[in-house]
Amino acid sequence: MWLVQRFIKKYPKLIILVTILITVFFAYQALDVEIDTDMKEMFPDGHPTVETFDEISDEYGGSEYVVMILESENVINKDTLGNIDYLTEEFAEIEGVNKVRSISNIEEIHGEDFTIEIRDFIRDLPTTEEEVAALSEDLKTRDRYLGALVAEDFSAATIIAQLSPEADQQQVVSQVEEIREGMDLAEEHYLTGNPVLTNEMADNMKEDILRLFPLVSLIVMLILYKSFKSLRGVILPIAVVLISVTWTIGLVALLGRSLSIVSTVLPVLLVSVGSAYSIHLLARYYEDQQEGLSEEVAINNSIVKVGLAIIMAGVTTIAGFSSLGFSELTIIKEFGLFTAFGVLAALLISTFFVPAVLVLLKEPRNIESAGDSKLLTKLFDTLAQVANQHYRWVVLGVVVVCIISLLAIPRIQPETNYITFFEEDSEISQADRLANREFGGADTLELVIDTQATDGIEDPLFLEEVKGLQEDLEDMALFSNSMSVVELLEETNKALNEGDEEFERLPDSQAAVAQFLMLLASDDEDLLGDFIDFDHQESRIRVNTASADSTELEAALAEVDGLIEDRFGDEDYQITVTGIPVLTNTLTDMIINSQIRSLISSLILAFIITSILLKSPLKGFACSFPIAVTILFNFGLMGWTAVSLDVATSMIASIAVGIGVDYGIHFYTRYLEEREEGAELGPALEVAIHTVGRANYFNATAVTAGFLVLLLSSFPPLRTFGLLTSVTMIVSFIGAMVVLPALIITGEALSNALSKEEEVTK
Amino acid sequence: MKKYFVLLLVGLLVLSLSGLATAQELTGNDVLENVEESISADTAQITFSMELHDGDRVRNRKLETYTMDGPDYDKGKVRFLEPASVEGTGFLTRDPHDSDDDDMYLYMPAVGSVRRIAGSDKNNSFVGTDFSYNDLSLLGGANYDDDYDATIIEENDEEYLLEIIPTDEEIEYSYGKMWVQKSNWFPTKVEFYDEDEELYKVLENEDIKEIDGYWTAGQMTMSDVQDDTKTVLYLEEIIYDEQLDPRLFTTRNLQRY
Repeated sequence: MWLVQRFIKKYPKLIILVTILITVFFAYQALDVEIDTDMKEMFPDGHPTVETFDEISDEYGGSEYVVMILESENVINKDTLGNIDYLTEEFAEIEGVNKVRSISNIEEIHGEDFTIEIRDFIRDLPTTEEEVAALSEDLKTRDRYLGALVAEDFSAATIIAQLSPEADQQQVVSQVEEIREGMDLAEEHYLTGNPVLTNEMADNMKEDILRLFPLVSLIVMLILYKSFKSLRGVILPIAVVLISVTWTIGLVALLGRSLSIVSTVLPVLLVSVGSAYSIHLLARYYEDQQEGLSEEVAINNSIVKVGLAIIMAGVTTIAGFSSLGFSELTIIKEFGLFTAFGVLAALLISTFFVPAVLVLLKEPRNIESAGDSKLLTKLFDTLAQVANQHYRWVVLGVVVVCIISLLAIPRIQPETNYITFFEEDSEISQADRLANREFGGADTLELVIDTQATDGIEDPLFLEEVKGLQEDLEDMALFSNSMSVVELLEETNKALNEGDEEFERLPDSQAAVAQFLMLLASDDEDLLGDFIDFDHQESRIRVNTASADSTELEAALAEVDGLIEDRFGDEDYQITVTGIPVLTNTLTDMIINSQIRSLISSLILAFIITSILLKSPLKGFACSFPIAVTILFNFGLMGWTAVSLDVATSMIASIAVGIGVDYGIHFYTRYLEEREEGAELGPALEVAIHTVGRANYFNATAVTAGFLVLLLSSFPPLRTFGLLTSVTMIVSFIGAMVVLPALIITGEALSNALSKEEEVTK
Repeated sequence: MKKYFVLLLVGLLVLSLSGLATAQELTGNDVLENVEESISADTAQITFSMELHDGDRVRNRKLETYTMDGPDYDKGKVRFLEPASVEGTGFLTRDPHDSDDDDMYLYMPAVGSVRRIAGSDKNNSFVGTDFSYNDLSLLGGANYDDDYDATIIEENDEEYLLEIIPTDEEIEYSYGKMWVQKSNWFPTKVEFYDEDEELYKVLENEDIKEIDGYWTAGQMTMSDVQDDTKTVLYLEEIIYDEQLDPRLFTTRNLQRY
């Protein structure tokens, strides 16, 4: 550290210049940063679940849909049908839209007497009330679109645009919105579907960042001012933060990556974490000057004594965030690694740039303050008292908290449904509820059965099994409105037999199936192409899937696998199940695995690093133990308050390790420093509590306030995350200030007892 | 002297007449008429093998067609021979000269009786091929003149390039480009453009040969450039102008297979 100190003293201007240059470079890069909120971005590149999704999507002209729902008392009226027809045609014109389905353009095979016709269900829009009434009657008999394109009670209708795999989804969504805005719709109208969710999320995210980042900066500045009551005490830490945020965002853009939904947290996090290092440094700088030392000595002490602690703290924080790099979820992995970089930047800037500026600045006029308040002194007196005199109770309390928390862990539920990122009263959530109520859900599960033989699907026995599977699926609570080639063949059979209901069944010979398929291929809307492939080898089933929590969905998908096995287990078929519900479900598994991996690795890393830095595994353990308890407490809290494990909350453990261990490290190094200078156990702890405790307190306040700002986020999961992380931060502060001293005392007492015993046995 | 004068006069007349003859430019519609003239026999019985291509995947079919140009309307019949599962499936069309009200009937062995296909959109794909029902009538060359107006946009020693614009409102193409060989009035290539005036389909005639005095393509390829699919027809057998029994073109006959 002496080297660093000498270097800083010698070249303060150079350091400042280099810092500015690097910042300008990254700031320039940061201008190009992009936001990507697509759910598929959560998966690592080349993940099989996404690859399958994309393959099926490519083969069948897209698996992503933008869904518009119109709602009114009765949508089968002249005006609404006119609107649906207009919207359908307008959507079809948008580049990137493959097909649009609505009641106004759906085709059917119609049979009457000896005439058949492949035609639009609605050939001409009704112009009189009689025609509307006749159409309504007709519609009641059409199972294929009732409950899919029009609600069974006619209270809602959907317009479904299928996006081609190569479509620019954001562009399509904004054009859809433009078309909608250009109309004066009398009906209630909602947009949903995965591309809409993604788009909406990106918009919310931009707003969030623009609102929360200035706010958190302001709050941290206020806290800094209250702590140091000096300009440099505010400007320097906030400069550190701004520079490190710039570097980080710049790096994200430089590497061609994008900001994801959890990245909303990044600036907030860096403000709270990044300011900590300069807070500790400045605290010592003021403390020493208060004690009558010169500014120069104060700077030296800050760099040499606190510098080491800062580096240790920084390294553990970096390790904590890096442990998120073990996550399978790309967005969490990248968030962890980029935040680690941000922390590294903050660390470097705090140890070089801040002292360099201090060297150039004149001695501060006001050195009194340093957050000296009677209340704080009293608080630290109490803490010291508790730690010193009631350490047994503290240890007992820790044990009790651990047990209660452990009991709650099995209650924690994973949640990866994207819809949870939206407010209850948002358009997306309303549309989702409406889709669930009237159409059996806004998402579709896709099953593709590959018979491995050309014309394999023409076998009537196979088709019977497909039909059976569809019936099995519809018997399940989560699924409804299944569609496959079976419905089309049944409709054709009926049409070719004079419209006789009795023939609304599968044809009974392979030849009949082949001939019907040939006729169906004449349809220009390519209805058939949605459900079978060119070689007649694959049959695709689509089934509407209601919104469900992750546990329900997982159970349902497992049941689907069972049903498939029952139907086709003996055959040499290749069966693919995909769709947004499958992606969501895969994420659930990944989030749990990732949580376990990053949790364990962060704790181990924290232990190893503190052990190395403090040159003793025992001391390393002492520093890491309170944080392990804190994490356990966090999970206990989640279990008891029914907060689910989602992309945001699954990061708390690593954040707690990264930030929380710092409090212990600062405390422990100060305690050791006092002991080395000859202080007894009790007084050494007391000094540590009063001095480092103050810096820790400021830091904890800044971090907690920072995370509390997330309560203003427009994403409910981020609000929960902010609150929970704040609580965790307070707990880890208490852990370092109370549990750690109690642990030190207990350890001392134990070793004393042991050595006494040894003496006795000797 | 008088003689010479007469000779000169005659000579000038001949010169000017021949000059008139060369100056008499053909219009696009004249070319189209010639095209129709060159390839439309009164009757034709053709056996095709058909390949449907989608990327690198292929499906094969075999079919026979009968066409007869009558005084009031043109009649056509298509019968699928292969694959076995669709064998016997047949279509019968009657296309009156004086109106656009075509009649179409379908027979499927699996159904066992004839059904009339009503009001169908003739732009729909013909049983999943890249030919629409409208395009089918072009195969015989018969309907270019009936359904399209042409203007010459380019000409060289070997061929004309025509722009053809549908006169039949029911044809979905906005316009087409047609390359016609001067030597035999046979179209080698036709491009069809969609409503947005973007290239939609391309018909290419290859292996053009003279059979029974009619120019005939041994291979016809219709490509849908937007969907990246194509349908190739290979001529297997052809008989021109053999007297056909009109009863071949009845629904009763369609049903008999």
